[in-house]
Amino acid sequence: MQAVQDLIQKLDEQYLPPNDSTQNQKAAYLSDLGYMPDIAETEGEVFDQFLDQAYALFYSDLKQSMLIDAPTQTRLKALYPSEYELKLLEMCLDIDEGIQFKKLPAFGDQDLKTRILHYRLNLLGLYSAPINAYFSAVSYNGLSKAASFTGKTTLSTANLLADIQQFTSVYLKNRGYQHPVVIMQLADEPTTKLEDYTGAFKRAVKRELSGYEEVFDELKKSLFKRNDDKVDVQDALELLHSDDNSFIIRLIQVHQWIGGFYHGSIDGEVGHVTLSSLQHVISSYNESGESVDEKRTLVMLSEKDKLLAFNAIFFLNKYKLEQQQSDKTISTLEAVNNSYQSASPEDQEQFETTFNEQWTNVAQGKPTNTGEPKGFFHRIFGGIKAFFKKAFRFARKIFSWILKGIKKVAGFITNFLKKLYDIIKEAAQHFIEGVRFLLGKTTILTHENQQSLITHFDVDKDVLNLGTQIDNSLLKSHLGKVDEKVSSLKFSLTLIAFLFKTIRAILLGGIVAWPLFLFKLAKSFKQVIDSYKQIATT
Amino acid sequence: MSKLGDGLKNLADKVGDAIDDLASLEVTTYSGTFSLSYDTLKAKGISGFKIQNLIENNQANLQANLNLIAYSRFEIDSDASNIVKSNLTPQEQTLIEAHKAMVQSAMEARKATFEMIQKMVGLDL
Repeated sequence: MQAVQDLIQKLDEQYLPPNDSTQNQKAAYLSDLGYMPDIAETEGEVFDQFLDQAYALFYSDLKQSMLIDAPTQTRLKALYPSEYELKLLEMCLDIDEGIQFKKLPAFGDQDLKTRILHYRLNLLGLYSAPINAYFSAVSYNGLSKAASFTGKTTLSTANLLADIQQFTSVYLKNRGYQHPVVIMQLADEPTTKLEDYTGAFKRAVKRELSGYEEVFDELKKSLFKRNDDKVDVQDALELLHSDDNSFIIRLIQVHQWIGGFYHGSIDGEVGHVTLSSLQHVISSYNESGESVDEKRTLVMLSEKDKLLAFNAIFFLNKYKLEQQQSDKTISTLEAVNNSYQSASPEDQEQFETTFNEQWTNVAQGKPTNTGEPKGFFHRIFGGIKAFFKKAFRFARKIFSWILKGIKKVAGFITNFLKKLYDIIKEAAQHFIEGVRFLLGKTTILTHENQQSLITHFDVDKDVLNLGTQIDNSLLKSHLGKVDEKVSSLKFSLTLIAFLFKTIRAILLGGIVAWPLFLFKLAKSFKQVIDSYKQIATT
Repeated sequence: MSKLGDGLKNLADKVGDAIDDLASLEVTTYSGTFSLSYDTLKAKGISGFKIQNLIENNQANLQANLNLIAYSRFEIDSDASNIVKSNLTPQEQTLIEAHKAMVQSAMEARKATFEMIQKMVGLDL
C-alpha cells in the first residue's frame, strides 16, 4: 500500500494549503463585516489575538441572529471540517447564493444582519458609512435607492442583493434598458488608444435594444441626433451625471470582479483600472472566439472632454444570459479536462508545468503576475457558482490560456485557479481522510490533565478504544470529536465512491497525470456537494 | 505506470478489501496504565500514531498493562456477542459509556462504508 500513501502524501504536501494559510483570509472577511480592526502593521501573536476576538464577536452575533440554522452548520462542519469558520464568514459575505432575510433590521440594530446589509449596499456604492454602524436613516436610504433600481420592496431588494446576477437581471428589466449607453469621463489621458465614435457603435446599441425600440428612438433624438461621426456632447454630459450612469459602472465593476477581470477599487469611478479591465474583457471575448469589436462597445466621444461611451446594454444582456444558465462548474471543468486529454503529449507536459507553477502561487496566497495595475480591492470574489457561469463562456479556451500564459486574461486565469483550488483543497482533505480510513489510519485522541482517550477506526478491526483515567468531561469532549469525524467520514467515503469510477477510467485510459486527477477530484467533490444540497432541501 | 497510477491502483485494491470486511463489526475497549507522550504525538501528527502497533508490539505486556473492559462483535446475520469486565471501577464505568457510544459510531462508519460500496455498484462498476 506504499503507492497509495505516496499519493496522499503528494496531495497533502503539494496541493493542500499550509495550516495557517486561512488566517489572512479570515481577517479579510472579518474586516469586510466590520469586526476586524485596521491592524495592517500587526503580526504574530497580537494579530492572532485581534483575530480571535473579532471572530468570537462575529460568532456570538451569528448565533444570536439565527441566520444560519443548526442543520446547515452541521452540514458545513461535515463538508469543510478544516475551514468551517471561514465558510460561515463566506456565507455571510456571499453575493452569489447569499443569506436570505425574513425581515429587515430595525432602526438602531447593530447586529450581523445589519452588517451584511451594509456590506451588500456598500459594494454597489449605495452605503458609505461604516459597516458596523447601527441601522439608520443612511442605511435605509441606501436600501430605498437599491429598491428604486429593482422596482421591488426593500426586503425583496435586500434579498436580491444576495444574488448579484439575479439582481442585475431585475435591474435590467426595471431600468437598465432605459440606460443602454454609459458615459464615462476619464480623470487622465487614456494610456492606450481608444477607437473614435462612429455609427457602428450606434447600430450595435440598436441591435441590443430589440424589444425596446422606443428607447433607441429617444436616443436618436438626443445623444445620437448628430450624424454618424459625432454625438451631442451636451447630452452625453447630462447622461454622465445621471444616477443610473454611475450605478451601472459600479455594477459592471462588480461583474468584472466576479469574473476576475477587475482588481481595482469598486467605486463607480472610471480610472485606468476600470478602463483596462473593460478592454481585457473585450479581448477575452475575442480570444474565446466571440467577435466583440471595441468600435461597437467602447469608444471615445470627445478627446477634449475625455468622454467615453460604453455599450453597457451589450454586457448587461450577456449577464442576463449568464444568470439564466444552470450551474456551469462541472461543465467548465469537463471542458478543460477534455482539452487536456485531446492535447499533444508535449502540450500536456507544458500545461502541467505552468499549471503547477501557478497553483503554487495560488496555494501560498502569493500575488500572481496578472499584469494588472494594483487597486484597492485585492480580495478575489469568493462565489463559485457565479464565477463559473461567467467562466463557461471561455471554457474551451482555458487550457490554451494556461498553456500559453496569455497576459490579457491572466487575472481571469488566476481567478479560475483560485476557484479550482478552493474546491480541491476541500476535496483533497476529504479524499485523504477517506483513504486513511480505508488504510486503517483514522485515529482520534483526546488528552487533558493526564487523561487520555484514543479511538481508532479501521475497516478491518472496526473500532478500538484505549482509555486511561478518563472522567465524564473528557468523555463528552471526545465523543464530540468522534461525532464530527464520523459525519465528515461519511462525506469522504461518498466522495471516494463518486471518484472511483473516474479512477478506473484513468487507470484504463493510460493518461495518469496530476492535473487530470485534480480536475476529476474537483468534479466529484462538486457532485457530492450538490447531492448533499439536494438531500438538505428535499 | 506512474506513482499516481500505482497509488490509484492500490486504492482500488483497498476498496476491494473493504468489501470483504463488511460481514462483521468489532468494537474493543481497553483501559490501561500506558503512557503516551502527547507532545510527541502532536508533533508527529495524529496520523503518525498507530494504536494497533501499540497493542501488537506489547503483546507480552498486554495482560499486565492493558485491561480489556469491553468487547462487542456483531455478525451480518444479526448474531451479537458482548464481553464486559466485572467489578468495574467508576473510571472503567466511564469507559463503558465510551464503548457504547463507539458501538454506535462504528455502526455509522460501517453504514458509510456500505453506502460507499453501494454507490460504486450503483455507478455500474
